[in-house]
Amino acid sequence: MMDLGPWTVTDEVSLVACYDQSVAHVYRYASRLTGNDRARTDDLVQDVYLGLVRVARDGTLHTVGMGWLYTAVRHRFLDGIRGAAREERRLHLVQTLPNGQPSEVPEVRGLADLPDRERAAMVLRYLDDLSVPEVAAELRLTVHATESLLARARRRMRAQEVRDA
Amino acid sequence: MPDTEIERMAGDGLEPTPTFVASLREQMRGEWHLGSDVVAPPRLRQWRGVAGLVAAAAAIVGIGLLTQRGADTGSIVGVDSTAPTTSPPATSPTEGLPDSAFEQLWVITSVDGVAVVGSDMPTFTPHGDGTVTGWDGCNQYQLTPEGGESTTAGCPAGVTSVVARGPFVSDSLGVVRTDRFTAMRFERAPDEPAPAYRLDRQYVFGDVGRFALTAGGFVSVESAGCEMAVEVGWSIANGNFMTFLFDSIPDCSQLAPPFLAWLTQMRDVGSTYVFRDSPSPAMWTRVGDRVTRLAFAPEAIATETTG
Repeated sequence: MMDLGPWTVTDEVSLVACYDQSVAHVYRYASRLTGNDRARTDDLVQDVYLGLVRVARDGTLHTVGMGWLYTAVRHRFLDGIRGAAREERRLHLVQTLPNGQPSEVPEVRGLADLPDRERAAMVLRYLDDLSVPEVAAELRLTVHATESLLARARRRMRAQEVRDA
Repeated sequence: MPDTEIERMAGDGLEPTPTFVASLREQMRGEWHLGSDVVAPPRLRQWRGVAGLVAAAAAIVGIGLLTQRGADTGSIVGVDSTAPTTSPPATSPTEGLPDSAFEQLWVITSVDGVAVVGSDMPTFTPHGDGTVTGWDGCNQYQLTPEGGESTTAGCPAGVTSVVARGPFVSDSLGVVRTDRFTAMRFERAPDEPAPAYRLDRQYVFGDVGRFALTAGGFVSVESAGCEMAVEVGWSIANGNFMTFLFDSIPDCSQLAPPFLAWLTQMRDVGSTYVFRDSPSPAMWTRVGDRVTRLAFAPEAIATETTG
């Protein structure tokens, strides 16, 4: 996954070459984060590459590798879900407050069906191979909270696996 | 569940459509040329310079008015934490730092006298070879004694240039200062940092509200028997900060009016708040490029009491 690049991005031709060689990989990675939501993936990938053009054009970046692109995708995705988390938390509160117990874990059919934060944690932990503290740092959570998040995601997926069996 | 199973359930991911690839390529080309197109001839650039000065002056006046309004009404005080800085050339990034400051994580708490807090707080760590590494509020950076500065791509204007410039002075309280910023030492925790918040205590904001931390990482906000729970997270990279949102105000008739007004004000800002208990407890938020804080009346500044 990381054997592409790095590319020099000091002019239009080299920038487009970088784009042509990397976009499929970046897109696949972004789609795993978004749960195969094509519209969100399109937006995410577009943001990353247009951001790349700006920093290359300004001369603040001369060389870019897949690591930079994956990191940019991850950060933009996480920035997005932090904003979206507000609404999610509000709904979660409505579900939780009456008796203090979390609502029943809804059914999922794979990573794509997990809530954004759980899916992000799973992708970072198991597909990007980040350690739990590293995932926690990316998600701005405690390690304890991250472990809980991962456990909840695994529990949902395991429950679905049992139902499928 | 084995990792391979998770990999299988993750699937291969989507392929971009040819239309998307072609369209984005054209957008990138357009964006690239947009950059060169805006290089105006000298005469136009001169007017742009004037326009820029006017805009900058307007922005300063705007910030001043906002700050004044905050001071007058006790509402929100805003500061532009990302304004470009004009620091003198670097001598050494670590000049003036005591030996005890090296290999420590420092968090910049204020720039030009204005507090900078939140999960994007910049950090720096001076090293024995004269280099400085850290987080500029957006990404990692490194400074070298030769003046090298590997800063961040794709980030808004940050405070890296401020971080770069000594000389430092330090005091006995674990604080270092330059003529631009103040920084406090934080314990570096490579694994899980122990939350700095005492879970066996309650944090009281004057007479408007009470924050009780629990071992589960939640905050209870109580007022006249009405309780609200909000989700909490701690930032690892930049020390221990507790962030939470005031997007759900309980429908509770017992809410004390000052407390309700306070909650409403925080909710209306509409951003994640950061609670920091050192050096004095305070609540901050960041809206866009602007760091704002809820302007407490002096008597309403948080005090820590045993719970």
